[in-house]
Amino acid sequence: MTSITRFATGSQSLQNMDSVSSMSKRMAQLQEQISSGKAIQRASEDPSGTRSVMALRAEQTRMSQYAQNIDNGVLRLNATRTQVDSINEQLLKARELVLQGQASNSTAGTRATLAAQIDVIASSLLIAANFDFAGRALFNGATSAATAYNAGGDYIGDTNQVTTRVDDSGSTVRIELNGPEVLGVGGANAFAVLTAIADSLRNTPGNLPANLVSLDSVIATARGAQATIGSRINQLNELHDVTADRILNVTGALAAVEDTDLTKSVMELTMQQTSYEAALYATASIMQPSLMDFLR
Amino acid sequence: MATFSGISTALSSLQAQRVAMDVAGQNIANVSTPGYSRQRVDMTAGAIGVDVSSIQRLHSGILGDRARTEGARLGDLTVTSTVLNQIEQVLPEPSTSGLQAKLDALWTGFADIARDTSNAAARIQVIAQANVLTDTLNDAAQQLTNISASHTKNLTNLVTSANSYAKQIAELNISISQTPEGTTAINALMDQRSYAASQLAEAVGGTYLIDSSNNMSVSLGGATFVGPANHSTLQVATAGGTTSVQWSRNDSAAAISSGNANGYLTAIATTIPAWTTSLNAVASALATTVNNAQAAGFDSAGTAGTDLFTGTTAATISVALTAGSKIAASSVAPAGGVASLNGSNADAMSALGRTANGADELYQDLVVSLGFAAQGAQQTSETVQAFMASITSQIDSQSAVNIDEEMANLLTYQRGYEAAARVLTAIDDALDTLINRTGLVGR
Repeated sequence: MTSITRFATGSQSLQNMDSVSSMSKRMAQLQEQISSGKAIQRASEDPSGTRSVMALRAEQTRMSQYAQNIDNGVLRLNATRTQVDSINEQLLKARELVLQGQASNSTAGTRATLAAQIDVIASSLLIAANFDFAGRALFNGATSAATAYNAGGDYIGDTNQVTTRVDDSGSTVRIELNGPEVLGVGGANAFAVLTAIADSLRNTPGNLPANLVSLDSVIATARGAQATIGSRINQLNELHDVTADRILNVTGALAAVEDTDLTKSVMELTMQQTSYEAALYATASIMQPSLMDFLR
Repeated sequence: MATFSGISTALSSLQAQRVAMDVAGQNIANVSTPGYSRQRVDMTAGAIGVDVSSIQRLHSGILGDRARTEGARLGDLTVTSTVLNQIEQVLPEPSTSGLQAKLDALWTGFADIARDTSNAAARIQVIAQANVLTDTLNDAAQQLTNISASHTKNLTNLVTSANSYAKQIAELNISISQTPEGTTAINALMDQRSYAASQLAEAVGGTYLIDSSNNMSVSLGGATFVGPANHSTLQVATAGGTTSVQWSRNDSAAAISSGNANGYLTAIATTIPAWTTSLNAVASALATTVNNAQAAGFDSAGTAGTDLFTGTTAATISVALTAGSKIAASSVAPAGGVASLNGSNADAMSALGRTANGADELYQDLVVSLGFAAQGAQQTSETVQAFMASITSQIDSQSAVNIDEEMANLLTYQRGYEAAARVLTAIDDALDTLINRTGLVGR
């Protein structure tokens, strides 16, 4: 400051006002930070902090999306697993019936009964294969057709995959299995095999051993599907933990940038308050006396 | 020595002390008058007694000039900083309700569709979010236009008051030339003139000169604004979307390089359009990236996706689709007339927020550089304000009134007056002795 030898009454009070008002401005800012809980009220207070907050918020949103994707995937795969388990059971039951039909003591009459049972299995298998999850067929790939198999047991879905994104890099996990992957492909699928078995039981018992071979291959396919689903669910569960961790980290980082450090702000506010009061007191005692008070 | 000269001496002192007390009274009366310069009585010893040679105005022309220059700079910076703060309020970030949050909500909407493309609610949600987003952009563009319009109005008001200050200076020039020098009256006029000049400088800047005959002239970029006895007028003209300040006399542009006026002109011509352009880039990137992604996919009926957004500026961007089914979520073409429920394209759209030079990145750049600009303007204006305060205190130390000092002066003059009166009494007594009591011997 330039040396000032002469103080003017007006400028003295102006200077006092200046320092008092700049203190009360800082106090208002601190109070806003404490009451809102946010350290950055507007971008100009901390431009680079603002960028971090915006980027972290976007990341937080994405991470919770991935978490939802993963949860949804697990739900869908669990529904798939239930159906595949039931399909497996039905197929094993069918295998038992074939063995009974092959037995030396079987007669045309018992075989006809067995064939009828096979028909029942085929129709309940069709129900399982056309099962839907949230209004969408589980096993028809990515087509919008309502079912995966028609009444004749032909696959009418497609082989497009349904995947879900699990991270920023675009990694995806497949959350569905299509019909052929569970029930076999084309003429060798479960429905064709069961139809052939029913026919053999009724008309040509000699074909039963060959039918059994085809049925075993369908069962192997279904078992494979079970294993695939199990491993995918495990993968998603692991990803769930990873994503939950990421969400925690991002939330922590966001709080570090964005949230008011309450202890620091409150202490600073108290200090400001003290010096504000001191300044007010000083102003009051400086401004009162003038030579006028001491003259008669 | 003449017999009665002592009386004249005492009288001159009585008169001089009275004038000095009047001036002290004037100073005290004006302790809080803006622009007032304190006055001092210059007394000189005369042949008989004392003379009041002049009443001086304690004012530094150089400091006044510096204060005007800095005042003009500060006027410019204050407006610039205010404008940037206003623009910042249009785009409130960081916030949970700003444009960034709305962009995030749109991308989230696409991710919801990707999770289950047959979910009609998620599709409707995306259309709604897109509408919220375009409304926000439209509103921001509108607010920027409003800010620009309000500053055009401010500029018009400012030019009106600048004209009246110019007129005041010209009139004061005339009054000053007609008032005798070294009097309280001329000092008051000169104070009024320099106060008007400082107000004019804050408004439009300019160069201020006081010539040898005590006339103040003001010029803007070499063109005369105020002459010794006359002044020109300024007007605001808006032609072809460009706002400028012109001379009324010939409609030519006035050279304004500082003061509030320059702040307003810069805001209207440069600052606000620049941030509008940045915001337009955000809108354009949003429309382009989303529309391109739409074109790459197929909607729930299996038809190729069409544009979700129309318009490429913040003011004109709007949502072109009304049906959620039109969101091209699938990247797989329909097979045999049956649409695919594939969600890869919706998934790709959910990741558009992270595209290089996409809407999010451009918007974040905008917010950050706007933040830096506002911060910088604020700091510069605070620096100049501090500098201005130091000039003001220097001026005050020279020109402003100190009541203590005036009281002390008053005391001195009062005592002087009393003493002169005593001198008069003493001389009177002496003369009384001489006239009435001498020559009475033997009576």
